[in-house]
Amino acid sequence: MLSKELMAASTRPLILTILKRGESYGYQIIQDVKQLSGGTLDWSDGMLYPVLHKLEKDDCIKSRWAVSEEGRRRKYYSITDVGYAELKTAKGQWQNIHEVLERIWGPAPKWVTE
Amino acid sequence: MFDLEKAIKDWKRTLRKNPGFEDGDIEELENHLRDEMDRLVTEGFERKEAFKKAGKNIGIPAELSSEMYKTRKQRFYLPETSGSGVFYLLPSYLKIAWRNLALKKGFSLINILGLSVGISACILIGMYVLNQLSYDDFHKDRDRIYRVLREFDIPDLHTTISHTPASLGDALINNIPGIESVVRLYEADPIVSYREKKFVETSFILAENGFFDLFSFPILSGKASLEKPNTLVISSSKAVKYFGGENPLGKTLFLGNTEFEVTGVMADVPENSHLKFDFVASMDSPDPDWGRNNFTTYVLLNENQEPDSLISEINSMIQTQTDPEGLVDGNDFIAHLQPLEGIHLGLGVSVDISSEGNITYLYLFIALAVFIIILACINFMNLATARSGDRSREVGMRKTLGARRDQIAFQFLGESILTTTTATLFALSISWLALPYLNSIASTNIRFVDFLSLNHILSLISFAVLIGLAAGFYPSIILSGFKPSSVLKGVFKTSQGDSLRKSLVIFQFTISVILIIGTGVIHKQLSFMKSQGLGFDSDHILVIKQAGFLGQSRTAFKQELTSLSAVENVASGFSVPGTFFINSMWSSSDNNSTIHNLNYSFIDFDYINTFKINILAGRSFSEDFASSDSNSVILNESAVKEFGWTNEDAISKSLVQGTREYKIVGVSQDFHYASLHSEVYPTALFGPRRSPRYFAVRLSQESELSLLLPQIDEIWKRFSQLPLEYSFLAEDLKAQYRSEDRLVSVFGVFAGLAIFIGSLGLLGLTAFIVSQRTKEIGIRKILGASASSILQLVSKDLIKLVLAGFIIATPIAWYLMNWWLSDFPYRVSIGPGIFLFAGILSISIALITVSWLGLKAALNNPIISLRSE
Repeated sequence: MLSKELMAASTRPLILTILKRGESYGYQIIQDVKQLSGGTLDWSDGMLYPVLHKLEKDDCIKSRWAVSEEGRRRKYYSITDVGYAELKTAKGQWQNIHEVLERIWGPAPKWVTE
Repeated sequence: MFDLEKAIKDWKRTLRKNPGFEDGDIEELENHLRDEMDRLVTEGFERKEAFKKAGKNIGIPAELSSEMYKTRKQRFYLPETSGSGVFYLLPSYLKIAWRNLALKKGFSLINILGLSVGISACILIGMYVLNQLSYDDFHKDRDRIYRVLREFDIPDLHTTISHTPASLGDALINNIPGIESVVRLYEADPIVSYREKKFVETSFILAENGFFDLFSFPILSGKASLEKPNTLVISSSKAVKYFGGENPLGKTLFLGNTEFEVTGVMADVPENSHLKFDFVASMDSPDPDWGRNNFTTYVLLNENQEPDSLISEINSMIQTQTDPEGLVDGNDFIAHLQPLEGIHLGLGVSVDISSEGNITYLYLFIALAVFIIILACINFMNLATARSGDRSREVGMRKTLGARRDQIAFQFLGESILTTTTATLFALSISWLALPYLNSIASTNIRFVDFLSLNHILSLISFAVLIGLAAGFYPSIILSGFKPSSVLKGVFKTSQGDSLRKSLVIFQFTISVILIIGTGVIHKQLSFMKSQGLGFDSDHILVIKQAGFLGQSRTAFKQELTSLSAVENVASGFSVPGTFFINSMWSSSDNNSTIHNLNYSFIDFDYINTFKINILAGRSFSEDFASSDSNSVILNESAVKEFGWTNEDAISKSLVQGTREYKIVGVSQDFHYASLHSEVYPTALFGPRRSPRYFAVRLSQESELSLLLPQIDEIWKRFSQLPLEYSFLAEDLKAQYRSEDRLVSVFGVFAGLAIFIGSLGLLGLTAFIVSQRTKEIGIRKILGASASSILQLVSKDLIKLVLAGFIIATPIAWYLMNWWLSDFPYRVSIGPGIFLFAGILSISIALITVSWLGLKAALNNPIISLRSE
């Protein structure tokens, strides 16, 4: 289980990344996240929606209602230019942190294992 | 069995209880739930299990809701400047207003329904008023066109007529420099024929050449001119009647035996023209004559010429011109100029002149519309102030967060404007539906599309806003005046406006009761007039028109009719009851006889018998005196009294006019040949000196009309080429009361509306009282109160108010209706019955309204009511 704070910080870039591949809807997004994380990211499903709405309010994504092949009315989300920009920034930041952590954690120093 | 749809519905209901969700959120979550379930089912879960698991995966509604809410907060930023903030808060106001409407569906329905009904009454009356005011507004020179009226102000006769002598026109154009042109009209009803088509045309005028210059009736083809003698202009619908598809221009129509050439076709005269005609034929300049009032004279004044300054000039001119003719005195002919646009409603002059429209009724309708809209606004105010407690916390909260009083007031005014605007939209559709009904009672032909001009729509919108301001003004002051410290502490009680509310309810029922009583009295007077004995027998009498056109063959026609078994009697006369009688001044054979004004007509020997008029002294006309009776006369009682005789005195005397004397042979009982709006006028019936205009056929009571009418028609055809025109006397006489018929329907409708709106208000107030006292009612029931005592508790106060309304209404209605009745020489007494009826009706309607909700409260299970909140 991830900590709440880390979850909160990572959801936005995660969703944006998924939407970068193409338009999608809430349920599908969650399925994708679960599949990609191999089950390590376990959200309470409903919690995705406030995040989607917040993203939409910040103009990172936009939505439209459409009828799916099964005949269900679904709200489809897609990424906007603002979203791309944010994703780009986020990606840079995450990669920085990742590198720093990698470097620190690296191959473990001798004194730790001893 | 697991019902998935129900389970989902319940689940959604749970979600909806949380305030953080907005439209769409729940649908999105529902779709998620269904997708997840589908997946779980394919994995092998039972549907019930799948539903549970999917729901659990989505999360706890309250948490979700609060997350949703967080994403939305900070949506509104307070303005950085110290502006009013109204525009920033507008979305919030609208949302709150909408939520309030949606939450209190019952109250909103009462408000909107009441207002819609009130506003649609206003729209309809507005349409009617606009229609009435639009008369003759299509003439280019309408501001300068006047009709000349003649006022008589002499002993025995005080009246004003719109017909004037032929010579007036010439005298005006020759002597009065302020007058640019004069046009005289003469109304006729000639027989018009084209080939085998032959009809009596009653909408026919003869006019002088300037007619189409003065008036702006649009011409469709040909020339708008009557310059050449024996030419005429015909309306398009009559052109079709006579010529079918042929081109009417250049065709010849016969008027009697004279040929007239059609030189123009005009559009049918608009509904809103006081002049109604289908033919206008050229007229030679009439011969000089100051005696008979045969013409209508219209004048066009010079630009910027004031009519008032012309009047004395005209009157002194008339004096000098008529002096050689030896009129009685100067008061015999007082001229007035009536502006064209005042003609329809009889306006613009200081004297009474008969008119087609009725300005009094117009005012009355406007007053009724205003009352109805006031009643509807009262409902709004009452419910808004009564329910103000519900909103007090909101006001307290807003104020605590910095709202100023004017902002709160603006919010509530805005809400009431929103309500009235919604109501106006409904009202438009109601009035669209009700327009045909208006047209039928007001005998107008108003079309809805004519009303939909930009101007009217703008004024309707401003009207809606105005009503919203009027209705919302008081509640907004009350609501915005709440002190946050007290409302939030909860020690607040809505006693404000309590006495005002009571007086408004009383006012509503006062108006309703007055209208009910008014309807009742008008109805009573109307049925009295329709059923009153007339002094002759009007039943089973068939009136045949155009008798004059039969010429000498009318004796043969009469004989043929009399020979029919179903016909008891046939008479002919110049007038029959309900039609025109001539009016003139008469003196008698007495020495120093004074002159008296009499109505008179000419009747044949069978007339008195056929109509069953009683002869009180002397004898009726008779064939036995055929040679002398055409110079004899029968007076009615009123005429005898007018001359100051007894019935028996009269028999030896004569009526005198000029050098001619007519011997009085009989005195008849007064009979009502005119409507009961006026007293029986002194009247003389002369023998058959003049050719008759009508046949009156008395049918036997068993006569079968469907057989008889074709027989009569067949006989008529043998003597005349004109179509047979007939009517039934009893129906013609009833038609004289059309204006009262109209009034009673209008009053009835408005009384119904007033009661309806008043009851809606009562319903709302009862609901409010019940909701305030839910707990009290519950406790009383537990302690053993009966349903009836609870009903009493809820309804007693309201019923008292209705009763007070009734008590106030009674003297007002009595006074008003006596005033209305005082115009009728023959009238009913109002009597206590109508008051009783109005009282019982209004109170029982109020009782039913109040009991409906009251009983529901009284029969409620106290456990439920005590558990509420």
